[in-house]
Order: sequence, then structure tokens, then C-alpha cells
Amino acid sequence: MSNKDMTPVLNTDYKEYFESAGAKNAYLLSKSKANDCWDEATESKVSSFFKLPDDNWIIRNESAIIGEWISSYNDDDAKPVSDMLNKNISWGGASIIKFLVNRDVAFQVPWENFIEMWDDFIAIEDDCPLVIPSNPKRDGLLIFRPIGDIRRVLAST
Amino acid sequence: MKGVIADNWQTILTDMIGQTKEINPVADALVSVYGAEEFVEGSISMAQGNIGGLGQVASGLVLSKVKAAKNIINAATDLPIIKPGSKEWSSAVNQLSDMGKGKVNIRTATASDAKTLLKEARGNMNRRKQYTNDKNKNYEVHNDQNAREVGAGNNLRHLKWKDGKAGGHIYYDKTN
Repeated sequence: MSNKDMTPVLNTDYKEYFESAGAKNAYLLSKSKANDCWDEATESKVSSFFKLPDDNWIIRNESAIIGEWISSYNDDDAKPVSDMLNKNISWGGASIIKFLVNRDVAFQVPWENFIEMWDDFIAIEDDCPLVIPSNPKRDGLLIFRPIGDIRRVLAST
Repeated sequence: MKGVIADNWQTILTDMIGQTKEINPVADALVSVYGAEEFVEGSISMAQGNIGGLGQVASGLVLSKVKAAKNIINAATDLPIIKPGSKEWSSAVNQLSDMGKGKVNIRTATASDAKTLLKEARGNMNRRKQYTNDKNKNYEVHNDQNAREVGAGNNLRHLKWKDGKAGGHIYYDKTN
């Protein structure tokens, strides 16, 4: 990915959302790159999670709630959710994940940084953003739901 | 029953967590987040010797206990309706007004009540087209006819608002 496709979040209008040291490793993707990431991960060109059709793999596949985030967010204590993600998701700390707000807005950050600063991203969007690992076809994805829980969608078997 | 459990709780805990981790990832997550003792306490009260189904039953029980304690909901219709002029309304206005960083979900009876509550608490906001995800202070109106909204727990029409690190949903039952 070229430099024109990714801008450090601290150099964008989103910088107000980021407090953690790991923010230096977070990038906002260009709209065209966000589109590419969305299309590839969701296998759809709709503009938002809320427009995904019933037969989309993210809707169709088996899923399970793995924890809740809203009380940690409101307590301004990210650690309980960080610990839960660390324990339950083994995507590799250095692997790059995407945080997809919608088809046009996407961020990327190492998984180990996301685990620590998930609340900075949720401050931007809590209405079913998609957290996409480097290989969603193998590892599935996470959805932070607005009612306060985290749903893991499993990959197709 | 309770005395027997108290004498053997560490053994039961070990066995139970081992079993439930294998058959139910939710149970594993609950143990890690909320503690093994709470998990076991809820699980034992439901077990009644049914070890085979214990994991799913226990995780469901503990999840409901945790949700009640932490004010977590399964869907918007789980929330109580807040009415103008009530003590709960004043509390909601104060809660939403004071939020620097927070996400709060509230339910009112009508769309007018929802808009009034938002204005009382956060002042004037510009309305954006739904799913715009504008990062500036604004609100969107989302409906409950969308299967994805319902699946996300948003089974009532609502205002989705954001203002910096504060935000949330104000659900309503009637459009007026």
C-alpha cells in the first residue's frame, strides 16, 4: 500500500479520538483503498453493514457473542475488553487488522495496538463497525454492536 | 446442597470450566471477564445434576446476571420507556449532558420525545442522512424495518447521535 493510500490518524481530523501511544501505528485509509478493503472483506459493494443482504457471509455464517464493551467504554477502562480479546482471539499481535466504519471509511492498525486502544476506534463508530483480520476467510471477523456486545462471526467452513 | 457445593467448589470449578470452554466459547469469555467464582455460582444453581447441558445453561444464566448488573440489553425493547417530566427523564438529561466519553442507550415513547430529550441534553444538532457516519456532532434517524438493525439489537426506530467521544441511541416506540 502506498503512502497516498494511508495517512497517520494523528495527521487527520480523527486525531481527537486517539489518546493511546499506539495511535502512532494507526492509519486512515484513502477512500479508494477503503472501498477495496470493504469489497474484499465483505464480498459486497453495499455502503454499510446495515445494507448487507441476508445471504452475505457475514450475516449467514455462525456467530457468537464473546464479550461486552459498553461498560468498559463508559468506565473509561479499556483493560477488561483488552484482556478478553487477548484471551479469546489469536490473530497475532503484529498482524494488521482493518477497522471498517463503512465502505468509505477504514482504518488499519496492528492487532496488538487495536487490543489496547479499541475504545478510541469505538469512539469513532459503535454501530456495527467490522474488525477484519489479515485473513478473514480463515479467521472470521468481529462486530462491535451498538447495544454493547462483541460478536465474533466465524469463517466459512 | 449449598454446603456440599461449598466443600467441593474448587473441584467443581475446575471441571466445569474445562467442560464449558470446550463446548461454549461464551462461557470461556464470561469466566475471563467476570471471574470464575461468579460463573460457578450461577452454574451450580442451575446444574441439578445435568452436567451434559451445563455449559450452555450456565453461560446463559451468568450472561443474564451480568447483563442485569451492567445494564446491558439484548435489544432496544428491553429498555424502560422514559417519559417527559419524570424523575427518570431528568436523570437521562443529566446523564447525557454530562457525558464526556460514553455511549448510552435510552428509550422514549415517541419520536418527539426522543428529539426533545436529545435537544435538552446536548443542544441543537444537525441531522444527517442515515449511515452517513459524519464524524462531526450530528444525529441520524434509523428505522427498525432493516433486518440488520434488528439483528444488531436496534429493534425500535431511533436517533443515533454522536458528539465527540459521546454518543448513543435514543429509541422510540411511535413516530408520533
